[in-house]
Amino acid sequence: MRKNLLIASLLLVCGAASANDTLVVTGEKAKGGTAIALDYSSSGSATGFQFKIAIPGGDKAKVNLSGCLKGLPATHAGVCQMTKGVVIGMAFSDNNALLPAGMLSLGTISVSGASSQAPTVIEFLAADQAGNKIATSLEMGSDAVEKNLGQ
Amino acid sequence: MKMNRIAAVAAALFGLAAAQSSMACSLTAWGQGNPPGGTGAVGGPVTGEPDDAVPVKRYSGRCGLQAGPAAYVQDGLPTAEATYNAQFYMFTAANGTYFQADDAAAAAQIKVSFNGSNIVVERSAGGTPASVVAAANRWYRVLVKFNATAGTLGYTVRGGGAAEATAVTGSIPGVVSTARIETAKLGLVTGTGTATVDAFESRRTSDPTPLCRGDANADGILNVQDRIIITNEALATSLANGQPDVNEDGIVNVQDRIVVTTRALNLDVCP
Repeated sequence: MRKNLLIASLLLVCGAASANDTLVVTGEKAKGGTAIALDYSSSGSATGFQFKIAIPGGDKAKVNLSGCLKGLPATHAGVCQMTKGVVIGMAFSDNNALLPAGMLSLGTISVSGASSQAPTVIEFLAADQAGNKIATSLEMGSDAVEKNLGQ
Repeated sequence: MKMNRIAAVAAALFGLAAAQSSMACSLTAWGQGNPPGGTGAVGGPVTGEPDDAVPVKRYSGRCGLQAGPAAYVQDGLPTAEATYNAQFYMFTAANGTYFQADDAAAAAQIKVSFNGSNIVVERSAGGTPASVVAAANRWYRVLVKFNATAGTLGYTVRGGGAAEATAVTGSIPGVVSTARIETAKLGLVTGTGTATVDAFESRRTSDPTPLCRGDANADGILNVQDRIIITNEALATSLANGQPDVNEDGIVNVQDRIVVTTRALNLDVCP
């Protein structure tokens, strides 16, 4: 409930600022790790998107991706994979259908390991039906996950 | 696909240049430097796009070159070149010589051929050819490096969807120190069938950079954008401006979408 309120308020803020597609990443520190919730505010103009999250501890960290991108609409499929210490998530459509406008609850990633550092979002992009990048923004719902898009 | 490079020896190509969508493919960039017969096209090679009424395969960009027996484009821009590096992509559908570089006496100094199971690289008469196993009906990148000063003809061959790291390289000795390159020919110089070639580039000293498999929008990065663009081409919505045929089988379809997704997820980087 608290998380939903947080996301709603975040999206109200970013929605007021622009009509960008927005990835909202909310981390919550749990015992021995971090639970990351992924939400997406869609303008209705993207057919696919991609994000990368660097995981502290690299490949030695335990990452559960079974719930990652599980909440995509039926028009879309998603895949998440851990490669070289980075979780890469991609969402796409077999026929390049547009993501519906509105709020999408994408799923969750859980990270456990010895590192006390926070996972860091290092990339987020969305593309339209022609494959062109569209305007996006990235919002962090808590400081349990950081962002560094210049990486 | 056309690529003219500063410091290139002969970088004439078929195809349209930068503006991608509505320009027709052309061969006008060939025929420079007064090649034999004064013409850039011999025997009626055809340039076109995959969605033309008569489709022409291409490796990257929008245009490729298709040539029947004894049809090729040529260029005379090489001028007594003692060193000459040329790269091109060949679709192994025809048996014969796809590329030939001649000296001033019209004698072949470099030949690249396909014989049904191997890509064969040869230097001037008398040299021992080098053979690289290659499948039919696949795209292959071929780089040849002629160096009369060092007396060698180097080569690199990779294709059929294989990783760049699997490229086969080698060097054929015995190039005569006085040998020079004066003319480059690309198409099906001799042979049978229909050859398709693309993305020719030549330089005097440095190596042309390999094109990036799956970089469908030609931005140098493999990501979800490439998957979307490949989907559009597979659905015949629009042609990609980059390299969508990731598995290099001459067809853009769901397989390419799968492979580019894998490449992006593996954080593969473009050469």
